[in-house]
Amino acid sequence: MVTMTQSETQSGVQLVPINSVRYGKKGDVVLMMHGWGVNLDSMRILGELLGKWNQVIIVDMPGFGKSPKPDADWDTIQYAERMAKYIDEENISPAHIVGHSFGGRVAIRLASRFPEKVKSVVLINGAGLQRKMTGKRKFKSLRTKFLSKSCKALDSMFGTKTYQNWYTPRFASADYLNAGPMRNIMVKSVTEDVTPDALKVTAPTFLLWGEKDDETPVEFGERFHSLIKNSQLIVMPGKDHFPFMDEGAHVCASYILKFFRSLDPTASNAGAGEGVK
Amino acid sequence: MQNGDRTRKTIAVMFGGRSVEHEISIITGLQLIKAMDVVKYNPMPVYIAPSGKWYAGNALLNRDFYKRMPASLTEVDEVTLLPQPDVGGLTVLRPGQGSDFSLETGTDRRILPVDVFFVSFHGTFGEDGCIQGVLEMAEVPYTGCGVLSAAVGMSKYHCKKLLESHGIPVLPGVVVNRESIEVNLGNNLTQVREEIMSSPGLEKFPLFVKPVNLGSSIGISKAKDKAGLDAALMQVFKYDYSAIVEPCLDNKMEINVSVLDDTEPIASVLEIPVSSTGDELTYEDKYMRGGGSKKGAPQSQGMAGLTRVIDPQDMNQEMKDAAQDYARRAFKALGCAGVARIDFMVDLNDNQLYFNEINTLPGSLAFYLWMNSHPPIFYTDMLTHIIERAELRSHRRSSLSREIGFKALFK
Repeated sequence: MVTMTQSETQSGVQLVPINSVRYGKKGDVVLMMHGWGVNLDSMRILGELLGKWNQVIIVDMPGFGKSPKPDADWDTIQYAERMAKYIDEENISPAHIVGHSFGGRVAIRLASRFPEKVKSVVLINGAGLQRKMTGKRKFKSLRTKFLSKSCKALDSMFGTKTYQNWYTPRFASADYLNAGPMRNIMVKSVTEDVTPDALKVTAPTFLLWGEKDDETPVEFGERFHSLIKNSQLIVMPGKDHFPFMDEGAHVCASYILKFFRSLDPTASNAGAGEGVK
Repeated sequence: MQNGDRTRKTIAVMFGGRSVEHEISIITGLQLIKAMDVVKYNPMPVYIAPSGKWYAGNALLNRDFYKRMPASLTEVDEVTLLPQPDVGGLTVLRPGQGSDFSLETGTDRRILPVDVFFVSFHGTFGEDGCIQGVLEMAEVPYTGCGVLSAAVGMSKYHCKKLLESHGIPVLPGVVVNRESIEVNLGNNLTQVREEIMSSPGLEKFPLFVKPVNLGSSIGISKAKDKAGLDAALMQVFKYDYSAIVEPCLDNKMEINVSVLDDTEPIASVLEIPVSSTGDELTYEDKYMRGGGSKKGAPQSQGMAGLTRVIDPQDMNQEMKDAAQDYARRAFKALGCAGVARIDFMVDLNDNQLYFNEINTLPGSLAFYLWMNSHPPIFYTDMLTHIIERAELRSHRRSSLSREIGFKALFK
């Protein structure tokens, strides 16, 4: 039984309603997309600060916060298609795109596939690349894969539930365990590699990275920097995967505004992040 | 700890201290470390425990550390600042567990290098010129007020007298010292009370009794009658040697403005702090609201968590301009540096504005006012500015001549 509650775009992506919050009334439009397992609340402080100089829209990504889950298990290309449509609906093209972690994956997809809708890209500890395998990591990964296959084989032969009861709680990530109905989307997204899309991004791109991050390490930032032609990377020592938490938002906002200002020195952003003169 | 990191300047952020505002200072210190430009600076937390001992180490960044005291203190280096020039940083007295330091490895390894000291204490020993004196002796760059402006700013009475002489309106006030009521209690208290009530402007109740040298509304009470005044005096001397008695306006409003140090100091937007009781702001209003103790509730945000109206749109422009002008003039008259918050009282009966007090190290450094000012200034940029001003002052100071050689001794 498939009942389509929302209409579809020509490309076929479901027009899931998007919940959002807004800050600021003047300046360029900044569209902010949060990471996995959180919602727009995680970016409110940063949004409020950027809103002092810009029109900020923070969205709940479909399936998070107050935006409903899409009927199908989307990949990040479909997420990007929905966000491209949202940019048209809101008449905010071209917008600065700020993406954190999972939101960064979508930002790269969006910027490479809909370049005319994207004024610039800001990735904060963005995801979307596959980790480089060191010897130790390779061994661990092979072992985990072997165990996973063995459990599944065992279960199908004897009707047991070793995969669910033994393997999952031991080897699955916290995000996977907490994903609930979003689990298939999560599996799709983490196995993706946005490298080919990153190579196609032409918009000026700012890579802002908390250094103490195991999920999306600085090495990802460095790789994005080499993949994206028009990019710059700033690493923030001592900051983690959520560098914009609490007063850390002021550090991120200060650097992001300096970046916006560098794109268009004559615009209303001029003077932002300069501090006192 | 990134001791080897010399591409960034190391900023020793000093907080805690021997003051009733100890924990508020911890909040201010940890907040500003989070907001500091870590690309440019390497913030090093330096904690002065209630015992007066100094500690340094990254374990101080977690609020949990303070819950686990005193056991947790062994995890960080015990340090001090020697009051002599050219040491180059903090001296390690006793290395913490797992510290890079070992007392056996020779003297040069015992220094934690520091480029600038960021003072983030509130109240006694930290906001009153004491720590500033130590930093002066050590001849190191430090943020905020110097000895004199910090000391005068801390005394509600001296501050009032000095600003009055600069043409800034203040409410009348008299100072009562603890000694004056200590001997032969009963008689003297009556005499003191009569002296107070014969001073111009203090003839009728209610009256405010405040510690001369404290902030954060600690020790303040309102006396409604003679017995109330006696009780208020007894109460206030628990916290301070001297008290100031001021009239209590029956129909009033508080206004705060922040001023930031620059070649020509600049003023922030105004705020009207809102009390939960419709009365004077209490310590709880300032620091406990937003619920630190409730499970799952956000952590106390210090002064940044207070309910307030920032940049009130319905206030008349004349009043706003006057407050900002007086605030800038007060900052200059006292010779302040860094960032201050100046609190005014408006008598709503005649719309007269009075200087009330200055905080030369305001809670949360009043960043919530600057991020809403015109133009907005983010906390990060404000901190960078304060650090750069400290370096400039230190540079100027070091160019002063301190020696003229021996002449008189060998004449």
